[in-house]
Amino acid sequence: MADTKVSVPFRQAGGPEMKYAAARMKFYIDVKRCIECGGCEVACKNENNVPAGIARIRVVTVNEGEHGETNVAVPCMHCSKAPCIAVCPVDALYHRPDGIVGLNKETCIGCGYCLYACPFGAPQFPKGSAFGARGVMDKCTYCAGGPETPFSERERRLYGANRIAEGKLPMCASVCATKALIAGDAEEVANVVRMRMASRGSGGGAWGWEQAYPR
Amino acid sequence: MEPIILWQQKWGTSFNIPWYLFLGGLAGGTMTIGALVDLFLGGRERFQGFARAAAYITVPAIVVGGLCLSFHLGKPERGFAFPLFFTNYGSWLTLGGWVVGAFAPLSLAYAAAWFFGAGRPLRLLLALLGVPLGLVMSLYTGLLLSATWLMPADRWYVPLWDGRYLPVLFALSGLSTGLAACGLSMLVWSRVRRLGGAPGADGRMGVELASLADVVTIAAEAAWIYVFVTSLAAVASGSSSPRGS
Repeated sequence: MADTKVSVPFRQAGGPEMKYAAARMKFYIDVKRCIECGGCEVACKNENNVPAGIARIRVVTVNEGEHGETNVAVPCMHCSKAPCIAVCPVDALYHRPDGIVGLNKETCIGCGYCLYACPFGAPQFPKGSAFGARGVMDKCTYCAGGPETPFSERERRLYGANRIAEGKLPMCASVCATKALIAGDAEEVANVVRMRMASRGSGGGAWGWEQAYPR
Repeated sequence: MEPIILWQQKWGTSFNIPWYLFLGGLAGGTMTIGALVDLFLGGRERFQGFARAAAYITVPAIVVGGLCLSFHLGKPERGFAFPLFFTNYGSWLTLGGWVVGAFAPLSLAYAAAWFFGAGRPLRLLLALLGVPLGLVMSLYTGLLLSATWLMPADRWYVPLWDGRYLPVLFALSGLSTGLAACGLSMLVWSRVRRLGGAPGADGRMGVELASLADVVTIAAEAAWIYVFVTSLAAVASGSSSPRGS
């Protein structure tokens, strides 16, 4: 498979006519590459000063210790049809123009309905008065901070780092050792995934370390 | 492979929400029962005790339940001011806030109408509002729980939170606990009065009626649970499509 020429149609982020299109930020976790190192969790906690007991991103392991063990890092997936936004009674959760699901901790009343609506376990509730906001929800912000003024002390304290406003990508994706966790505009991420899938092929040779890193 | 839902912990050992589900359902069921008895049988002397007991029971149930509900929030003060803050009318939590917000004053007014001896027309008006509102009060939490399923997946996140079965179950159990509460309170009250030597009207008729109606409701509830569990088992054994479609 090393000398196979892979021809994959790439889609431009701006569309076929290259008109300006707003970015639509996404995460993608390549389960064939995640090795459960936990680097994403540590980097996120460090960058955003996440309180103890909260893991904005964490690795979930399926079939631990058995054949076919799979690891996947699960942050907030910033869903296009987010159940958390649909159920929040006070509209504390909202879609940003770039598709990131934002949280307003000033508005949140800590009811926990989003915790039950989210299938990914993204909403979490710190004990005590961490972040200076008692009993309200905390979740992965895509390292985009919150509705406060970017780079302000208040934003830093409540939501953590604002890397998106600096033009960077989330910390977890930046440090992923195997590039299992990739982040960015949906078209760009889809291009990478498409390339990986095409070079891996299918059938018996599709699984294995040689296929995880296409040449 | 089974779909995996990853939920975090929120309340640990706190029992605020289970208490609210029980007390809210009790209050709703009691209101419905009392209002129905008042509307259809209230003209007769011997059923007045029944309706009065129901009206009085509703108040502590909804007050304590409402307090449990408010104090489970991270910011209870915003829960009390819900007309200002609950802006998402697509969420059952907002609709539920209005249900409780309408039910609590209504039940207080109804109990006050009995306590202060207001005229029957006013009581009947409140009872007329109380029947549907009481039913909604006991079953909306079932709708709220089942509304957490929102994605076009194959089933509810928690199979027990099935929106086709849970609201009816909640309504039936609200009615049966309401009947039981009415019967028990009438029994206790008649014993208390007899101890005090007061020659009160014999409350036994109301108690027997309450317990008979309760048995019927519990039988209906058991039948519904049987249907519910059978459908869950059918899904689990894969013999039928999870959403029945």
